[in-house]
Amino acid sequence: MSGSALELPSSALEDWRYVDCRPLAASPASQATVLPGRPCAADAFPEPSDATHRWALAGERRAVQPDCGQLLLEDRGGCWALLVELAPRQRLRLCVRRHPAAGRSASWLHCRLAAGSCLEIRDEHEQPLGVHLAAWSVELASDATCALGVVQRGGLLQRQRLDAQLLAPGAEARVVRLAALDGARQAHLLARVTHAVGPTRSRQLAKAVLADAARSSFDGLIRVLPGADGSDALQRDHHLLLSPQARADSRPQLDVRADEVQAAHGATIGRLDAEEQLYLRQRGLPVAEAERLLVAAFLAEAEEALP
Amino acid sequence: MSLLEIADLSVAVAGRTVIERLSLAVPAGSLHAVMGPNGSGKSSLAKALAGHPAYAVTGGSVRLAGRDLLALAPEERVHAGLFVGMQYPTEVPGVNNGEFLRLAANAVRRARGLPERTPSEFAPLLAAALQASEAPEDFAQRQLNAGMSGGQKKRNEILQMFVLEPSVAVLDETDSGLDIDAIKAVARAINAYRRADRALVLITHFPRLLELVQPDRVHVLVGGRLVASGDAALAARLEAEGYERFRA
Repeated sequence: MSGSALELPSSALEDWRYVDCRPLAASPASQATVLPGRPCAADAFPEPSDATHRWALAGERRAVQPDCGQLLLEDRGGCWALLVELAPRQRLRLCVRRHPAAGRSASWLHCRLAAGSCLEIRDEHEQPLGVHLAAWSVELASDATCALGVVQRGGLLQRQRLDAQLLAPGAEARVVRLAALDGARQAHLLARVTHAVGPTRSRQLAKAVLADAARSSFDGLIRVLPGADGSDALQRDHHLLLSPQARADSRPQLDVRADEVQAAHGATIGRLDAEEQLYLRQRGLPVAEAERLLVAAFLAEAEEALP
Repeated sequence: MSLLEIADLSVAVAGRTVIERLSLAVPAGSLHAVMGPNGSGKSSLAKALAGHPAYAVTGGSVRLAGRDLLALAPEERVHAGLFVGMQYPTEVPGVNNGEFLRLAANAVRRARGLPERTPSEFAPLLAAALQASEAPEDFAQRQLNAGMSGGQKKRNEILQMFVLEPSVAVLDETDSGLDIDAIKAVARAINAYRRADRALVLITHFPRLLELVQPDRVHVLVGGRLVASGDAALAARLEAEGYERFRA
């Protein structure tokens, strides 16, 4: 992987403060991801604003204007950057899965949504190994909608940066994260939603369950720019810790520069409710089954909201 | 030997004795009522029987069909045939009531070496339990106690009893928080549950329920001790005289 010549991200960076980057240096190089579309010049991409982005741009760059409703992408590793453009009122579902042999990857995905178009992204990592960094962004024109879903169940280390820019009235973005981690796995989500104008709407929902010595962070920002009156934004982050060694960090942020705005956030980090667990046991469920049921109940809302 | 035998039971919460040397034998086929004023230890008895970790048994024994109940974990007590209906059932948001009932019934079956029931095998049994317990039909689709009113939670406890089919059921103030129609429905359900091979203990501080469910024995609990026992007429006397004369 050519990224080895580049500077690795480090937790000294503000946006990487919760990430233990050590597995990154230790993970093996892997095969390259096969990308759809045509080769694309470097200047077609915005300037790198993030360590992942810089890293990803060192690999293959392609652009695609999909002519079908669904695009499946298997992340086999390496550095890659993909530009996706949707025509007005076009609908696309993009699914990204990690290949079992993908050692490490750094990806950058940028989607431009024309008026009235609709994009669903579902990024799933359920492989036992792998180190994956992703910086994905979406620009939405008027009445465009996107739903960005991240499922983090595997991998040694994964960090997803999701950036949604609501650039015109009627645009709507939904970010959903579901993480269930055990062992020494780490998963991080950095979500940035910008309301550049109003009326626009955004929803962020993150739920993570951590067992053993797993680590997770949610770093979410709602930014409402001056004049973006009529913006409606909500962000919720909930962590459930199943072990005393598990660690969760939550950083919900609001930066609101307009007056007529609805913006709210909420974050919790908690443990299983002892009374709930006892009640289930007093109805015959063994401890482990009661715990499974409560974990499933905790995740159910995110499960249902995932695209 | 009685189906439920409580002998010299003492219970403490945070070092304070709440039940003192309580003995109670409930034979199969009978229904006993435990009555007492607020704070007399009625709920402490129920919680100790159900295995609540904050209610420490400091003396005595409890046997269910001869088995040492106190040696068992809370879920094992259920597998042994005990059901304790709570005064304030815990809300468990996000857990579907119907699915929970199937898991609970299967946990009991598994512990008894019986095959588990699939959702399609369980559905008619749940429908029958809903009918027998007179629970509203939508209870199977609700969340487990979350979003239910106080009265609905109590009726959900009765539904759970019908699904789990315990041989010994202890119902802690199932009548409180219920309107008159609901009390009548719960009384009918309790009467329907009575059987020659089952024992029931109703904990209550209002005699009203006992006009609808005829108890074989009535016990009065005051200050953590059983101070009187008698037949159903004792409940009527309590209605007229109150608990004052039993206080030390």
